Amino acid sequence: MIRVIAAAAVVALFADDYLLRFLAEILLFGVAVMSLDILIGFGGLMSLGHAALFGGAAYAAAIVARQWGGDLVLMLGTGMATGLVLAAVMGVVVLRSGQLFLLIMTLLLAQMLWEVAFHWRDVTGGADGLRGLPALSLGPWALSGARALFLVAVPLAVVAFLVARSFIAAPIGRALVGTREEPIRMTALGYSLFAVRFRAMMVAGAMAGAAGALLPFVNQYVGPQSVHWTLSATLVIMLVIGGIGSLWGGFIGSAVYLGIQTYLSAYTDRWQLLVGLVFVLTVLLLPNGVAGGVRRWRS
Amino acid sequence: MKLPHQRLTRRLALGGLAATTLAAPARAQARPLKIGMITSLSGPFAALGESMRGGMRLLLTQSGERFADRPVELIVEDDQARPDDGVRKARKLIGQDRVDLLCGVIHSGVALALRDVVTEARMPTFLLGSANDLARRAASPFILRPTKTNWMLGSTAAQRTHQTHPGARVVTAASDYAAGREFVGDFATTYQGLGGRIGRQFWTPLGTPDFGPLLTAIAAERPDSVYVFFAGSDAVRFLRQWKEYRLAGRIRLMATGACFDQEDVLPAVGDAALGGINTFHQSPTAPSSAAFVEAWGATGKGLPGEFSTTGYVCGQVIRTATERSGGNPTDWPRTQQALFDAPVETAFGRMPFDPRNGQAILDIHVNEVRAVDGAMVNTVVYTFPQIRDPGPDA
Amino acid sequence: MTPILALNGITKRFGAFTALDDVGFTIRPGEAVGLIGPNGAGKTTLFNIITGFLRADAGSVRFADRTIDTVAPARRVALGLARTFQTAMVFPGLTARENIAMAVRRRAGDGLRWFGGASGTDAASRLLDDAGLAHRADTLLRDMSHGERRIVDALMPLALSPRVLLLDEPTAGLTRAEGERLLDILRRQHAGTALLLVAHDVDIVLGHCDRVVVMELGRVIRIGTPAEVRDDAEVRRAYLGSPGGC
Repeated sequence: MIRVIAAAAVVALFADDYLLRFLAEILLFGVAVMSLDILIGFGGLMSLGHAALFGGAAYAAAIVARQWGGDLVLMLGTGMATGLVLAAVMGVVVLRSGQLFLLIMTLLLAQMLWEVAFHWRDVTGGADGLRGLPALSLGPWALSGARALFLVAVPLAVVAFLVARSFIAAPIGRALVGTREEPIRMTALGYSLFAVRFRAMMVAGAMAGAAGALLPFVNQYVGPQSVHWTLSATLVIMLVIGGIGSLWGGFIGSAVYLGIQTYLSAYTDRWQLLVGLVFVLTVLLLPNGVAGGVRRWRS
Repeated sequence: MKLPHQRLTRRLALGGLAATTLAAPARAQARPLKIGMITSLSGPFAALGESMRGGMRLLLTQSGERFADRPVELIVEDDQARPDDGVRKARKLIGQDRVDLLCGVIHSGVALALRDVVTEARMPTFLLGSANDLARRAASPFILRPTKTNWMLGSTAAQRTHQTHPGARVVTAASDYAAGREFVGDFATTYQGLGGRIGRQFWTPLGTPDFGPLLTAIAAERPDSVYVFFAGSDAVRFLRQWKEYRLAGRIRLMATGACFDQEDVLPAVGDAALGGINTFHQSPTAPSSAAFVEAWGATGKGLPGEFSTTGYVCGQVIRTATERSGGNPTDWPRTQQALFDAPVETAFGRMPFDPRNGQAILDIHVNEVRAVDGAMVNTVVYTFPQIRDPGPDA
Repeated sequence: MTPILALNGITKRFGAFTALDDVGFTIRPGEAVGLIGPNGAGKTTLFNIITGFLRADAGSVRFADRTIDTVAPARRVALGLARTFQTAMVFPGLTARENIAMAVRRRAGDGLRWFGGASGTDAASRLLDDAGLAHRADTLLRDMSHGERRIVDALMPLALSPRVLLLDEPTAGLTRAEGERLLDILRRQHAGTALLLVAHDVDIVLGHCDRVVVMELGRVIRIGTPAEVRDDAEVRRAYLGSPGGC
């Protein structure tokens, strides 16, 4: 932990704006992927609608910021509340059905949110999205610029990781894994599968929501792409590359994906081909993702 | 204008330059002028993006790859017509490639998304895209716009209709998205302001596969004239079916120039477009673009449409900016003032910039699609000179 | 004494096939009842209906004087009705202690907790001690022998301190000695829990149960003490006498 903080401090001091913003984006996506890992990796709940929680919170934060300013506490609160509400709705609709329906229903629900974002021009800016966002602030201090964003993203990522780890280690986390491995047994022990999964959904929603709230401040813009199902799929790809069930692998996965996207797209328009290749290779050679590979190499 | 360490580097470079010049009175050794262009090279606007890049490249070739005796380096990035990707590429060009100037975009959504990014980075940007907001609420001290706004085309179309067919009842039809709403909205407001009558207004989703029901409904209205906005493949499909449903030649069809784009639409629809009227800042028969049309034709690409001309013009404006600033266009206050003080001569004609919002003031032509040697050509029949967007006071 | 579990007229059809036809019997608190019958007799179907995984077409299930036909499976467990399955449903990646702790926590109402609450490991250790598996408490289930796994599998619902425990072939795949040991643990250490026990090994059933219910083709053909059942002619014909009659 000390090493992480020290590394972050060094980076914050010496890296340029472009790199800081890029790293902040990796951290925010990493938190979103980690929250998805709770659902997929630990709960066995295959969701293709996570962009609704992540991007929905981004929209909420942007809308609130344009009205009432970018106070950090207000942003995080808005994001988490939005994530919780959307996760609750998704959970109630989706968690009583079987696996295949879960996949399709999360996809559908998320696309419904996309439709709202795309068509409700007055509130969401429609296809043009929202811009003209105020800078982040905390009380009297302005937190504008890439460095400030990075220095906010790092503790967010650290706290999120500790929260996720605590959740997984707690009885509820163990019960969640139990519902994935032996759902019938869990029912036969008196656990309500719905109750367990719903709680996981809420935690994932709040976590993705907190990260999502800061997303508009990376590019000073939020648009319908942030809630499109292709972003949900991207989060899943990041998770697989990073390592399902590893939690911290989410950060690896987002770094790999965003790294390829940012640095390779300068040389070729076919960077997505490379992502696909990395994805396939990961599945074939490193079934537990990069995190799994690291774990194996260490032991 | 630049970040502290960039300013430092420039000072060192200039200091070194001065030293070199003093030490050896050789020819001027200038640091290359790096221009970043963001355009759509994949996705729905791929062909338009290629044209834009082609136009800019032609200008660079003609200039010997030098502006004001400074070598020019052009870096082109693809935004895939998506705002998120456009912003990402802009950040890369600014932060990683460290370009001196930015230019480009086709999609207005990308343009709007870029506004805050380039303003915060204090990056001089020659921003295209045509949403009205770009000249109004989304104007920026770091953005100059050497292209039109939707209002310029919509309102002049209304004026033209009033000129030639006063009292005509006009029905409108458009793709239901931001651009469509602006074009038709501006047309209707202007036309009604002039005392004209607007009939029914039709809206179709982007990418409508079959305009049959729309055309039947339009015919049933028996309008005197129809004003439409469609772009790209929608325009092609609409015009073909306009002919199939025998409305061509019977009802006066007016549109924005994009609907009859010389490169993008006319070659695909042939004589279905014959007689169509459009208002546009670009025309292959406009006198001001004669030289460019000839040069473009010499590359074997036929008559130019909007985006090849726009790419070329953008290059012309940047070249003039470089010349007027003594080879130093990144000294933005000086460069900006130099561009406000006197118009730039471009393939779009004489182009002054409005100091309120950096928006170009343009001649808007009325084109009629005529058959010339068997090909369909947008032919200028009238020009509204020096149209100025109402801007921030709108 | 009111029966802890009372079945009355349970009937279940799957299309044209009648799996259970008017099945009824009772279990008294603390009693061990054996359920035997050839394959296809409907024993597992009956288990599924009693525990709520299936709905009967007719008849009723009463648990401690309360009709539970519409109660969901997880809720029935909360009321005190637990079961095992024909295959051991344990968590292979967890230790024996952790497996049982999952049930202990549920019993303590701490199953969904994030902070505080019991971890359940102490009670789990005790149960493993009683069953003679203290030395295997930290072994992963996937590394245990089949017999040990079966014991842990039975201890899990036991940790819920149920009033009735339904055991579906708990001794399958075990040696005679292992099977005896398991039954011993169940009867000796958990005397308050009534058992409904299905077993292939008829001698185990006859040896450990207070009463035996014999089923054939979805019907109850005999209920009685082990001695009565062993001597019954019809039972012999249907089940005991036939070669390889399991």
